[in-house]
This record gives sequence, structure tokens and C-alpha cells, in this order.
Amino acid sequence: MTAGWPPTPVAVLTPVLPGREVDLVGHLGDMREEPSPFAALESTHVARLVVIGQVRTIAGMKKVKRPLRMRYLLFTAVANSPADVFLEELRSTSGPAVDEVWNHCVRYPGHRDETRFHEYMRQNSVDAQQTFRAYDATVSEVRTALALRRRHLSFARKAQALPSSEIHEAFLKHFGLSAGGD
Amino acid sequence: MAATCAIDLSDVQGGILHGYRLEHAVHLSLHAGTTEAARRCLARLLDEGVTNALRPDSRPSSTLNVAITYAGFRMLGLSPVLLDRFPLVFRQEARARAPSLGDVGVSDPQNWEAHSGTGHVQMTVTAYADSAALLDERTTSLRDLLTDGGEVEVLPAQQTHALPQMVEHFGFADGGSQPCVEGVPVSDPTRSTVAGGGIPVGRSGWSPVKLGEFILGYADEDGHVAEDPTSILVRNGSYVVHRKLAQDVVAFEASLDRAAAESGLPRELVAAKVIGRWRDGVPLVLSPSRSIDDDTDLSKAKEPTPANDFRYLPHDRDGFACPHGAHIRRVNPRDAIVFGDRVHDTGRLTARHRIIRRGMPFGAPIDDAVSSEKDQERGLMFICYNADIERQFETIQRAWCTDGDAFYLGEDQDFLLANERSSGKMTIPVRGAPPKFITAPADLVVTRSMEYLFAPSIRALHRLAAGRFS
Amino acid sequence: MTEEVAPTITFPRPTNAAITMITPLEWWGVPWLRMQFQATRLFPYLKGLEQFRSVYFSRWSIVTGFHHNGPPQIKERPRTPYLVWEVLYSAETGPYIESFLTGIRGHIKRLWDSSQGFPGVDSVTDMSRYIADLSWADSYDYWAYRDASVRMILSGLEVSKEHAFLTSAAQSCGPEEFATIYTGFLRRRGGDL
Repeated sequence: MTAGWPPTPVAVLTPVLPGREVDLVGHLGDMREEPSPFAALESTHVARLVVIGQVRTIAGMKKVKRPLRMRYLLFTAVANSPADVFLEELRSTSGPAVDEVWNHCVRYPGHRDETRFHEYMRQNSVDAQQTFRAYDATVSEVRTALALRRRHLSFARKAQALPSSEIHEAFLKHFGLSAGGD
Repeated sequence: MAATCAIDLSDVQGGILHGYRLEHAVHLSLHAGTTEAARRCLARLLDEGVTNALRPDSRPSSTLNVAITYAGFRMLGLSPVLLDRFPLVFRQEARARAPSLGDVGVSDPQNWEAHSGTGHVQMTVTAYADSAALLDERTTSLRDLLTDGGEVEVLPAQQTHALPQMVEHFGFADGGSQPCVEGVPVSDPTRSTVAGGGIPVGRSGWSPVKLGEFILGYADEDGHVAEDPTSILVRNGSYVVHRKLAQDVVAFEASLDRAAAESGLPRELVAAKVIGRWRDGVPLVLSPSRSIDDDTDLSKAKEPTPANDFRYLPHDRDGFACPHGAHIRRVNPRDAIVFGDRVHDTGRLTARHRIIRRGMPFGAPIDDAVSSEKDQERGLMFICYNADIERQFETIQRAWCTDGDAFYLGEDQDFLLANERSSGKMTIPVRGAPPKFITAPADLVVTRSMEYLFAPSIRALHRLAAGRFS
Repeated sequence: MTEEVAPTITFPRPTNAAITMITPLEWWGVPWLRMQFQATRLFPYLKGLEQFRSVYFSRWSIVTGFHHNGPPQIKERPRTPYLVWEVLYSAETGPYIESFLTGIRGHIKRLWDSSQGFPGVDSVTDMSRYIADLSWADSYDYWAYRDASVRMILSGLEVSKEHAFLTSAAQSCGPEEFATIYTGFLRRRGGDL
């Protein structure tokens, strides 16, 4: 994680090997039942893998004479790192799990070849023309904030029953502080 | 109010657009073994006389209505093409929907009454009566009618009876606030119900709710006309949700005692804050404070028709009168769903999520029960009508009652309906002071059964009985 | 020593969701969108998403082709450029669509008017169907904090900001002064708890 780096989007769009599309969708389903390969990456807020292809033709659309024949894996993530740093963290921390996904894709070099891995991800990357994020905090800051919110609620519920003269001492005790120091 | 679309009330089943004002009802759930048996059952009910929505000059002594589940339509022989066009929420077993509605822990479907939500129930026949004695007679006669020939299994009947002064078991006036529906004559022409019963518009206006929000075949608030699976089946019909909810009155009263002690607020005020109305139905927004003491029993002093003409914005944006998490503010937020200053006409955000409620309590009031009956189950047979179960009932239940995020309340659930996954607290904002936090215990209300049904029009019922949709 | 707080069991929020929607653009879509994106870079308020406090992250990309990695990849490109939109949000999907059609309809129209088949911003039903028809469901999601909505996170961050001050006040003030400070904190942030 790059300390203080705002939540930054990453997107990579890679072609799925013909004949492996169903297998990939099945693998994404299996992943839901297992520990996530992204959980070990402290900088990752969210990560998403979606199999996409030719867009459906619905009312108001022009009929497509030559629809796309391949499926593509769209990988997007938001992490507190520049994209290349995030991808390196992904490669070095969860390499085997990454391989299990991207081995379904054309010409994926595997996680062990660092140079070719990054070249592959870079060449298949998709820029975002517009992004939105609700906050600038890191994952750690968000988790800390959520835990702190719960602790403050716990204290507030206790404190409402206390005379005001006792709130100070109760606060120090609840949050593990001592008066006049750390 | 001018009707913008003529509705044939003779074709709509009764009890939907207007309540019957009869104080006793019975629900009989049926399962037929064959398509012929199901159709004969329906035909017998039609011969008996299914009540329509026309208002007779004098109140009937009893009524009869029928609603059908997806499994029931399948047994009635609806073609697969038509069956597939019902909304997914209706096609699924009700049990499958339950977890997302907060039915976990004690309310988990594995604890529900036998057969409930499994697809076993095919039809529910509902009869109202003006006396308990007549209701018993009707229950017996309907059971005989329906089990004639032994082809139809009639599950144990569920009787419901209005409590004195139209309260529910927790002691609150109930049922007084209903949507004002466009084009539908009101029960009392001298009393406008659009203000409060309609949709808040602009700063102070109201408009009636579009008929299509409750009756299929008419334009809804989005201008759409719901017609799936086919207009001749669904027009003039309505989806209906039946949920049997057991209420733990002793635990509720204890929770009020605890909340009063935690908050330092008078007990009756805490009760009002939890619901959003005083026990007699007066809304907090209109009457944030009253001279009461702990001996006051507002449940015995019910307003004949509790005031309903109020909005939450701008005067109660902060929830100082009616807390953001109060029950009525959750189940009908009116204009209170806000997104900063971004949405100006906030009434639009609740317009498509209204329901008509026609439930009634079951079980003896705890005060009247002899000691052997005090542990017997009591509660509410919750019944609501809507054109789209997922958009209307389920959104209220899932997004507004079983979650607090829409009101900036995080994991706080409705005090009455909270389950084991709730935050366990309710926030009561206080003007000029820090908010109060009270403990909101889980499982004051426990789900005992649920079915999703459709109440077809009278004409559609005849066609179903004749097998015209196969 | 920190007073022990009973461990909180949290549950994944059922309403945390994601949409990946791909829409083919009209011939004028790419230059039009580039203009819109430039406008929101200059005037971020045009996006209007902040006040909803329901969107964690969102991104828009224009895809005109695919990098060719070599066989067996077929060399192909979409017949018209695609607008790829992805959003992660914490709300019921129906009310979420309703809220942005009601609150930022101008922005929605500017972004999607150049997408083929766009039904306009007048009907929630039509927009919901458009999104459902053009979204991709075969997916896997990871969330670092699946139990928290955007609003809970923003509330937590506000509380966090004040926590440092409160801590400092607790360690330097007397009981009476701290009680006043704490009361002020609760009046400001009590609704965030």
C-alpha cells in the first residue's frame, strides 16, 4: 500500500480463451465460496471480475451484423495504490489464485514472469474517462472508522445514564486512556 | 376528486380498495390434488358469491374473497407460457424470499407453520363476518363446501378478530392511515383523505396515489400498466401478501420500561417515539408533547379517526418530533427520504412504495386472557395489497424496516420488527441536547407464516374456474 | 487498559451491490461524452453523486477495441464504441435508480443520451429494464468492508475526525470541561452513531 494514496481505479480487459468461457464463469462462482485472493491485499477496497461480450440488441438499438465472437474478462478494482503497484501486490501476494482466473485468458503469461505479467496487464488495461469516489480514506482508515463508530456508540449508550461528573473517567476507561498522558 | 380512469368496481374483489369494517375474519388455505378439483373448488366459491368492491347501501353481514398463489395458478392449469410471465418474486416460494425480509433466527421459515411458503398452499379463502358467532358458522360452512368430495385439503383455519377500539396487541391504534387512491370513491365523502393519504407534492400539496399502484391494468406512478402474464387474467386484480406475525406483548412492555429508564423519558412518550404516533393514533409530528403521566392509558382513548394530514419536511427534518427510525416513518416515509438537497420533490421517492393494509389481530388480548391463555400466541395477521410485491411490500420490509440506511440509521432496524441481526438500539433525537439511545430488543414480532397471492378480478375467477387460461 | 467491548458480529449487507452496464454508442457518442467528462472534470458538482451518499465508487470508460494478444484471440472490435459503466453502491437497486433519476436526471441524460436504446429519464421502470437488459451478471465481487454502507462509512469517518480531539481533551481537561465537550460531540455526531 502506498501510504495516503487516494482510492484509485484499475481496469483490465482480457480475452477469454475460446471454449473456456463456461469454465471461467464456473470458477467465478466457486471463488464466492472460498477466501478471497484480494483479502490479503490491504490496499484493496473493492475488486470485481465480470465476464462480458456482445451487448444484447434491445428496442431502439441498431442490429449488429457482425457481433463479437469472443468473451472478455473485465477486472476492475479500487485500491490505495497506483495501478502498477497494486498489480504487483496482487501478483506477488496472490499469484496462484490470480493464475487460476487468468489462465482462462488468451496468452496470459502467469504470475511468475514479473515483466511479462505487468506487460500483459498494461497492454490490456482500460482507462477510465470519469470516476467517482465517496471518500479518500484508505481501507485501514475505513475499517478503523467503522470500529471507532461502534465503540463510540457503546460508550454513548453507557454515558447517557451517568451523571456528567462521571463521564470523563468513564471515557478514559472505555478508550484505554489515562489523564494527562498517552 | 375527479376520476381519471373508470374502474369497474363490480369486477374488483372487495376488501381491497375499501375495508369491510367487519370485525371478524377467517382465512382458509387450500391445497387441491388435481386441476379439476381446483377448478371445481373455485366454481363453488363463485356460486357461493365472491364479494366485489361495489359498496352496498347497508354493510353486509359477511363477505367472501379468494386469492391464489403461483402454485395455485399452476394447479388451475395456467399454461406454462403464462406461468413464466408472472414476476419472479411471485414465482418463487415465499420461504425463499424470507431471509432478505429479515426472517432470520426465530422468524426463520424452518420455524414457520407447516406448509407455509412452500408452494403447498394454492388458494386462500377469506371470509369476514359481523359477529364471532357468524364467523364460526361461516368457517364451518366454507370448510364443508370446500372439502366436499375430499378432493381439497383445507388447512387449519386462521381466525382474526378486531380488538376493542381498533388497536393491535401492543396497544396502538392501527389501520387508520391508508393510501388515498385516485379515482376511487372515498368511504366518507365529507372527509378528504388525500392530504396525508396521498403523495406529498411540492412544499404543501398532495396528490392521490395512482390506481395502478394497487390494481393491475391501470397506470401506476411511473405511467406503466402492469399486465403480465396477460391482461385478461390480471386486470382488476391485485397482489396480496399474507404474513402471520406473533407479538410478544410482555417483552414489548418490558422493553418500554427499559427504554424509559435508559432515556429518562416518560414511558408513554417512549412508546410514541417508537411508533411515531401516540397509542390513540395522534401523530407525534402534529402533537410532539402531551400532558400525560405513567398512569395515562391512551390505548383506551382512541381518536375516532386519527389525524393523518402531516409531512415530515421541513419542520421535522431532524426527527425531534417523530424519530427517523419510528415505525410509521419507516413504513410510509411520505416526504422524508432525502438525499441532501439533491432531490426537491422527495414525495416521489415513496410514491411507488405504498401498500394498502387490511390486517387484523388474532388471539385474545393479553389483559383479557385468563392465566392459561396468557402464553398463547397473539399477534397480527398482516395483509397488504399492491401491484408489485417486490417494489412495494418488499422494499418497505427489506429496505426501510429491516435496515436503517435509507434514513441514515445504519444497521438500526424498526423497533417493533428487529431481528437478531439488528444493531439493538434506536436513536431518539432530542432538540437542543444529545440524542437518546434506547435498547431495541430482537424478536418482539416473530414471523409465523407468509404467502404471496394474487386476488384476481371476478371475471378472471370465472375464467380460471372454466379453465380458460390453459 | 481498554475496556473490552463485546465483539460485534456484523453481517454482509444484502443491499451492497454492483452493476456493470455496457451500452453501444451512437455515432456522435464518443465526442459528446468526451465533452461531458471534460465538463465534470472542470465542474465536479455536475456529477451530483456526493449528496446521495449511496455510491462507493463508480467509473465510466469508452471502449473502442481490444488489444490483440495473438492467437487464438480473434481480431475484432465492437461495431460501435461501448460505454462501460460500473458502480458499487449501498442501496436497494430500485430506490437507487429512482433516486438518481429524480435527483440528477440532467446528468443521467447527458451521459446516456448518446447510448443506443436509451429510454430517457422519465420512467424508472424503463430505466430499470434498460439497466437490467444491458448489465452483466456473471461476476465475482470482493469488498473489504461488506458490512458497511457508504453512509455508515462517512459517519464513521466523521466520528474518527472528532475522536482525536476528544481523546486529547479527555487527557488534558477536567471532568466538568470534558463533559461539556463530550455533550457537544454527541449533539453534533450522535446521529452518526
